[in-house]
Amino acid sequence: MARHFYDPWQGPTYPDDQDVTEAEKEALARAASMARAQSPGPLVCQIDGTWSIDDQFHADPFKVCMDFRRRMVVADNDPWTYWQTIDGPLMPPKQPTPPLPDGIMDWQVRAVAGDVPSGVVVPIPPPQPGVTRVWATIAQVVTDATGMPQMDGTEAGWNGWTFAVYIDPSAIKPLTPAYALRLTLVGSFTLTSLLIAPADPGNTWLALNATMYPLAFGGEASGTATMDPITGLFNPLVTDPLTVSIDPSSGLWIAGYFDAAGDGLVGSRTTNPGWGSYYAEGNWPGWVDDNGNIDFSWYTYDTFENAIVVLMVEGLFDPVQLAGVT
Amino acid sequence: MDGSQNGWAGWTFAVRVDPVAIYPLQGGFATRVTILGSFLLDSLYIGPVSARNPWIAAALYRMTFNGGDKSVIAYTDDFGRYVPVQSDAFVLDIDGSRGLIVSGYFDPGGNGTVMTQTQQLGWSSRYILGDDAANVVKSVGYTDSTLQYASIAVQMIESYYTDIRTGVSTVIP
Repeated sequence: MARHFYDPWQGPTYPDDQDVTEAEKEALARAASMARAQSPGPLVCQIDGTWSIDDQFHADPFKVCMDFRRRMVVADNDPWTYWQTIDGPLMPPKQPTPPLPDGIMDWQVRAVAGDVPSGVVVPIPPPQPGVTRVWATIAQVVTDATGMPQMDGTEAGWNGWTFAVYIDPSAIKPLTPAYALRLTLVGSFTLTSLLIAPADPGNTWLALNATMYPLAFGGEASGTATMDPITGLFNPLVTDPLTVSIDPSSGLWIAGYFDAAGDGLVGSRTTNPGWGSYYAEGNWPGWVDDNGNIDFSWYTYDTFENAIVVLMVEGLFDPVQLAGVT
Repeated sequence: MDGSQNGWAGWTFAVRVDPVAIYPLQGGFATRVTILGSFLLDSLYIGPVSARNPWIAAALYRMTFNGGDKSVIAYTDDFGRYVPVQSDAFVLDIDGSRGLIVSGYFDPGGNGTVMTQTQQLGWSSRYILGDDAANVVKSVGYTDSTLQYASIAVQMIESYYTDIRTGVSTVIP
């Protein structure tokens, strides 16, 4: 009988499986499978799915093979093959597994259908091959004629106080969660802590899930901003990237404590739409109240300045995420 | 999830998540699944996709609920919102590098309303009448429903990455 299938190791399919008995069909399949096993093509182990591409000399122990045969109701001395008997459809060979994100701990979402549930932080996957992620400004104080964000004043006396800045979603673009965030601060001060959190969509006075993420400065929790002694201009202080994907669609809360022994001089912006600044005496950032909330509603609203300290917030994106964002 | 559908009592569903929609691919130390709907689920299984066929699991592991129950009731709250039901942690590294399959059987005596998700990259679904949840072979006899719903009842798959023996993460930063 002429073989119509295109590969010598292809098991019999229509019309080759016509007019043959089941025993003859099985014999043809075994012969084709043996040809496949001896062919240079990729092979798939029926027992554990190993590809010959992944493991050229793959072999399962005798007992495992015999257990497999018995599960498949094959008598011990009957002919049998451990390789797939047809060409397709087959799964592609196993792709290299990207490394785990640094410091991954506790429960992490691996896959989610639909919108990410409120409060769930999804681990950040590495970029696709050939794609370079870029930093983009998602919120900033009002820009000057050159297009750069600029403070329009300074405020002294912040040492020993906690500040909080709320950025409304109307002043954030894009609202897509970034792969990472970093902040640029201006002033002459020492911050002993700086935290950021998404606002709770049900009550924007609260940090979502009573969780704030610490921002670091060169790996340290504390950071010092300085003023250029010659020009009198502030040297921008940029935080380390915070590799947490934060959803800013209900706004962002940023809070920090100025070291009592530091300068306590901050850059400020009087009118800045969508921004609000608040303060409290003492060290309060991230403080969880008796209700289990991180609540900013008890802070005092700064009626003079919409923005202090925080010059801009940047996010790390795939370029495609920024397409059409103006 | 963006929709719901009733009539699932007495049916088995299978949801496959491809590697493109899974990160991290490594399974850590334990795995749990979150489901949504209003139903009595008799059984729920999860396992890695085999290399034989995208719709054949290499193995399926039975999940439990509420500290060991094999079945669970998912329900709506007083406001009609579906309450997420989380399985117990299943202490095994379930490799996602070929994908994951989640399969469950809805009791004929339950409500049989599931939440669904349409058009989710890397997610696909199929179903069959009767209890076939434990069967690793989802490639035969099932009806594909990916065009209607990428996910049936399954909202989330999570894994635990802190080594419970040492208390430190799987990767030292």
